[in-house]
This record gives sequence, structure tokens and C-alpha cells, in this order.
Amino acid sequence: MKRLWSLFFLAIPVGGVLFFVYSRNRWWFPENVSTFGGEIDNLFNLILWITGVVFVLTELTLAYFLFKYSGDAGAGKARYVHGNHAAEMAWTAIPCLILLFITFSQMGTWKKVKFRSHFPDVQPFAEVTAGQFEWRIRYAGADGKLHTADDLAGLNDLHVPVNENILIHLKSRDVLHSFFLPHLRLKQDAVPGMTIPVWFNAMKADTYDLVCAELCGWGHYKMRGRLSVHPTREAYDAWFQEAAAQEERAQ
Amino acid sequence: MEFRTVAIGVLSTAGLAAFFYYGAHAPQIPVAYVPHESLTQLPEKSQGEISGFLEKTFGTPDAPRLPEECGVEPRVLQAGREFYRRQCLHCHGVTGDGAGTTAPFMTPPPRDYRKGVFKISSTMPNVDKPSRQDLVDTLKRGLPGTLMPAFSPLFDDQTLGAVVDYVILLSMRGETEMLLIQAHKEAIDDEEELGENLGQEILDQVIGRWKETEGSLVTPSVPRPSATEESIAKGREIFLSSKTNCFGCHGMEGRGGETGQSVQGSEFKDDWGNRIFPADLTQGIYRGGARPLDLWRRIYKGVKGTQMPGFAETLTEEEIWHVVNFLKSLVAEEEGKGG
Repeated sequence: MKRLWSLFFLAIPVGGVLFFVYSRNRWWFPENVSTFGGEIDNLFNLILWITGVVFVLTELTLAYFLFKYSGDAGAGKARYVHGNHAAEMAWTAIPCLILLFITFSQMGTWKKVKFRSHFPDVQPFAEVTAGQFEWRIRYAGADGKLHTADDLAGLNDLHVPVNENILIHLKSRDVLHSFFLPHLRLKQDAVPGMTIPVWFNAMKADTYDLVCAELCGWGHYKMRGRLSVHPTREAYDAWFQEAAAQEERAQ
Repeated sequence: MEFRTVAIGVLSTAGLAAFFYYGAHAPQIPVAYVPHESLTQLPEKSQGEISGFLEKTFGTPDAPRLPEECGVEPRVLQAGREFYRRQCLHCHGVTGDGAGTTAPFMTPPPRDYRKGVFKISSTMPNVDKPSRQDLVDTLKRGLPGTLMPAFSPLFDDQTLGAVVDYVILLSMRGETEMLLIQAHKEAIDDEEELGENLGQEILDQVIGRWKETEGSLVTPSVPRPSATEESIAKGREIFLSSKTNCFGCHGMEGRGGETGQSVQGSEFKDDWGNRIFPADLTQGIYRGGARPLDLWRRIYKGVKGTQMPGFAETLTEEEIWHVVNFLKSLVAEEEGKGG
């Protein structure tokens, strides 16, 4: 009867795999519209496969041993082992090699997305200041320089043109926040007192989510914004002119 | 032994199922408006009369309503109330008294609507209340420099308009309650009889003040002069003149805080009793919006419930524009320093 426990543990890998298959077509990633998003997804999938296979094998082994050495009449008898040098070497070396493999396979992507020395050579497009519980945006404007007279203020809605390298200076005015664009596969913490550059390039015009991905206080759930990708540079410029005219509105 | 194993399994599964079922079908916790703290000082008869009148007029949080002449459908109030419950209530409280659960952590504290006073408005100086659009704009823009977040652009004007209608309900309800309490107190002190229609009279008075805002909008009739050195110099002169005494509070350099002569040694408080400081005008952070038009209106109208007066009488429209240009130049100068 104790053998039944092995079924209980077997349910975990089986249920896990079934849940994965079910959710894969339903609750998986939003559409990728970022130039580097494919690489990020590939890395995610690579790591998911490695950990997934190891997880299933480990759980199956556990269930097998629980079945075989359950203590029920007729089951095999467990025996004590005082270490096995070869086995220990193997279970240290193999994970080590896997970790090294992951390290080296992600370095190129990490460098491209996060290393300032490898950023696209563009002027900052806008400054995004996260604060409880809103995103305040400051567009650099035509001169491509922040904190000049032609800057434009925005709120919660980051407008960018399609197919351009966009460099954002990320700031926080109070606590830790995280600038998360799920469709662009970009996530970066905003840290008070620091200006952190991030970049992306959106390949498709539409509106996308901008959310805070760091629990930042009681109103964290309010901190939703929007990324509006304009279909052409001209459309973006037209929007900019209109918004700037509104901002300067005197009558 | 085996029975125990099975029993544990069945019980824990049932427990888990019950937990999730309850989570999905939990009864709503009943909410009610909280009476004003000074209401309890009145005799029970008065308390009952006031509470009864308020409930008859404004309904309950779950079934809010406004008198017919306000022209707001219950459906709209219901929608506003739903949004308020999700986004506003934890600071501003069920009653709009600024006593939500997160309020104690905040400086400045969330607004208590019950006074019927709103700081930012663009209605004519003789009009007491802000317009509906003023409140919608405040929701959209947030109040920079406070913890009031901006709700633009993810919520449209219609949604935010419904929230504003609900906030106006809370404000009307609160103001009516306070005036009623006052009237009851006075009647008891003077040993007088209360008029039969007291509630209705006070209510009409409050509704009338909100009605006044319709179509009332302060707009400059002269265009903004371009921000030439000459205009900025004029603005500076006005800022530093004894006629306006701007510098008295905001300081010679416009840095606000305690730099102004008039502020030193005196503790400025707003109508809610909160300690306040004149704005630092070099930061470009404006509660009421940063457009030149917003600044113009702020100077023209002042900030209600605070020591900031309106200058509609003191300055000409053009002079106010010069001050606006001067204020904008202060911010540009500060940013030029790399701040």
C-alpha cells in the first residue's frame, strides 16, 4: 500500500508537463516585436528545456525509487552507501558544465542588450522617471538633447517611431521600480539616484503594455502605462508637434 | 494507518477546494459612509435626523445617488464608485474623508473632500468650486510633487468623468453634513427651533455652488507675449514688486520653502490644518499643470484653501503673462546648471 506514495510523487512531473503543454498555447509570451526579442526567447527556451528535462528525470527517478523501496512486502531492500567518488564527481561536473554552457551562450545577447559599450550609437530619445505610481516621460525633442528648451513632457504613454533604435534614460524619483515592456522583451530596474540607459527597437506599430515589474508600494497595481509605436517617423513627428503645441497652449 | 493516510489526503483536498471556492465567492464586506467626527457630539435625535437626511439624499456606498437637479444618472455614479473603490478608496477613504488605510503613510496627506474646498480650479474667481473638467484634468495629470498619480491616458474622459461625479457626490455629502452639524449646534446653543426644511435649504445651497461652475472658465483674452528678455524682465519686476509681494513668500530667488521673509517664523497651514510651504518655482513641478495657460490660471485664480491669493484684481492679464514667462525662465536657468 505504501507504494501508492510513489504515484503521488509521480503526479508532480506528469502534472507539470501537462500544465506546460496546456498553457503553451494559451498563456505563453505576448507577441515579440523587438529586434533582440528572438534571442531572449531562444535563451528562455534553452534554459526551460535544460531545467525541464532535468526536472522530469529527477522526479521520475524519485518516483521509481519510492516504488521500488517502498517497504511493502515483496519490495526490494534499500542499503546504505558510504559515498561514491565517481558519482559525486559526475553530479558536480555535469551541472558545472551546463552552467558554463548557459553562461557562454547568453553572453552575446547580454552584451548586445545591456552593455553600454555595445549600445546603438544614438542620442537619448527620452528620459523616463518612475515614481509612485506613474511614469513621467521627458522627450529630448528635435535637438536630441535632454533638459533643453524643446523637451516635451509626457505621462504614462511612451511614444516612439517604428524601426528605430530608441535609447531611454531610466530614473526613479522614490523607490525601486522596474521598467517592463513585455512585447519588447525588455525589463530593467529603475533605481533612485541612478540614471540607467536602456534601448530597444520596435519592429511593429501598435500599442503595447508598459508595466512596473517591481513591487513598489501599495499602489503598484496602478502603475500601468503604454508604449505607442507609430507606423512611420512622420507619424511620430506629427504626434510630437501636436503634443508640443498642446503643452505650449497659451489660450 | 492506511485509513489515516486516506483521511489526510481527502481532508486536505477538500480544504483546498473550499479555500478556493470561498476565495471566488466570498461575500462582499458591507461598507458604509463614516459619520463626521463632530456628529457624535450632538444629541441622538439630531444625529438621527442628519444621518437620515444624508442617506435619503445621497444613498449608500453600494447604491449612490444624487438629487435629480444634478442630472447624474445612478448608472454613472455606480461606475464612478466602482473605479473609486479600486483606485482611490485606499487613500481617500470610503467617505472621501482622506482617511483610507494607506493615508497615514503619506505627505502631503490625501485630500478630505468633505470641506468642499479644492485647491486647483480654473473657474472665475467669484466661483467657489472647481469645474468638472478641472477635476477630470487633475485625475489625468495627477498632482506632481504629491502621491496623487496620473491616470492619463489609460482611462478616457468618460471613465474619469464618472469618477469625478462620484467625488462630487462625496464632497456634496460631506459639506452638507458639516453645515447641518453646524446648524444643529447653533440651534442648540441658542435654544432655537430648527426650520423644517433645513436639510433641503442647505442642500440647495451646496448644489447651487457646484452649479455655478457650469460654463465658468477663466481664459486670458490677450495672447501670451513671446518670452523675450524684455517680457521676462517685466515679469521679474512684478515678482519683486511690493504690489504683488510674490517674493515675500516664494523668496527673492523663487526657491520657496522657508526662503521668503513672510514665511520665516510663521507656520503656514492650509484649510485642512496641514503645514504647507510656498512652492519652489525653480523646479518646474506644478501641482496644477505646467502649461503656460495653467500657470496663468494659477496666478489669476490663486490656490484655494491656502495663502496663495489670486491676482485677478491686482494685475492685468498681460502682466500675468510676463510673470509666467519669468517663471518659465527660472526653471530653464536651473536646468542649465545641470540640475
